[in-house]
Amino acid sequence: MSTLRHRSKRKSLRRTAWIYFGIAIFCSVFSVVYLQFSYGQSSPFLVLLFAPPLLLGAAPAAILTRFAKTLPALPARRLWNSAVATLTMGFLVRAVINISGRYTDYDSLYWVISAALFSAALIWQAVKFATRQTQTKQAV
Amino acid sequence: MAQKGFFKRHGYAVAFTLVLLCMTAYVMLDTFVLPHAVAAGTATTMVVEASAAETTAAEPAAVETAQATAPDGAVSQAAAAAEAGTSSAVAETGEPVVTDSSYSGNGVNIVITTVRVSNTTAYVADVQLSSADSLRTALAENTYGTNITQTTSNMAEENGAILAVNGDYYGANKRGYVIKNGVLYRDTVRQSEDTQDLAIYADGAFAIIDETEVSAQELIDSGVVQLFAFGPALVENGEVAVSSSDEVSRAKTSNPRTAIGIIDELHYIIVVSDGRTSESEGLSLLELAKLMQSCGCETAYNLDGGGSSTMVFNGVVINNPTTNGSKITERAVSDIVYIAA
Repeated sequence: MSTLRHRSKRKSLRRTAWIYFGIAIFCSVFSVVYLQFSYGQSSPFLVLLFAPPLLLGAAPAAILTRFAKTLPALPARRLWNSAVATLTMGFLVRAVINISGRYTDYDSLYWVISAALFSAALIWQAVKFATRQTQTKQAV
Repeated sequence: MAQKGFFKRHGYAVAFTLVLLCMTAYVMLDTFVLPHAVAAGTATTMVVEASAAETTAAEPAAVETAQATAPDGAVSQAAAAAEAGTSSAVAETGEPVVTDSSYSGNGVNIVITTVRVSNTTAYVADVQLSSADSLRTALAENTYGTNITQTTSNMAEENGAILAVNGDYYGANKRGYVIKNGVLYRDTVRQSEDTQDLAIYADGAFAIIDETEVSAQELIDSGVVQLFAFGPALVENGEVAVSSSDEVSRAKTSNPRTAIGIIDELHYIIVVSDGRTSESEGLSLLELAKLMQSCGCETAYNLDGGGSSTMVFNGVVINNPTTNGSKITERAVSDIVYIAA
């Protein structure tokens, strides 16, 4: 049963990696098209729009699928995905506003929320891992 | 049943996506659309308190009729330039003489010429005043705030402007000094990497200042009555102040542009260039700076450009403002610089 669940988790994580990879490609295409119509104005946040889904989404999911013995729990994955989504949206918002020639403080909202979600995901997984280790020790 | 299963598996993702989209929609609306009025603007009649400038303006300054020779050499002079001759005094009294491209009277002398430079049509207004009071700014809806906009031509009409161009679009940002008509509206330093502003003193003199080096209150105390926070400075001490290598990314490309410069005491050059059309590519900052320098400017400053670039003369929009791409329409902006008698 546990092995089946583990396989299912691994399969789901592999699918997540591919979805993130697709999002990263979409972000790259979106950036190129947007820059074509921005009259020469650019923003590093637009150029790097693909980075959060690729580096914080696809890459960790692919690495975990390939190498990890223990896969993250569903709540931790949800929190992590939310963080990546928030960070990507922050990049997009910052880019659009900067390219329009404006500056904003709103982007900090996205950075703070995504940092909180990343932290929550890591803490959740750490607690889960620690609890499991304690249970295993007690069982032994 | 299948629906229940979907929401059980994806309910969190759907809910979070909705929250994120709503938050982003609000951020975008607040940044680009929702108006926030903060204070009423100053009526143009009570502006520019210092009248000291008037005393120095009576000198019959020789008008160099805007023989603005474009750096590329291709110059097409407007008829008015020829009409105005090469030398005249600023007419202080009597009925103003007005043509399609010139105005002379009531202490204001304006000649507008059209030049072709770098495959772009630029409109060069040579302005001579007898009093610095004639150089004014106006806020959209006569209200200070963000996202409060009005077209340049509407503001020009409401304020009785002879000549008007778009200003620095201060309302697009929530930071950066705002001083208009002697009133300090905002004293927070800009977030932009470029913090150079153009300060105009009560006597009509120009100075390039850096927001990180002087406070807004100090500027007011030193007699600054108008401040433009866009930039960068194009010409300083008669020398081109931008180069192709140190331009910020947005400035490297050709775009419609607006610039204001000073040649001499109460003698100004205001330039608007077309762009983003098949007839006019637009100017880079370097090209604009060279144009301002060729007009004889000692100090020149880049104002808001792109779709905002608009020049109104005697109630008529004389350039081809582009909005939403290459569509020829006037964009609503936060503020204007204008000349009134």
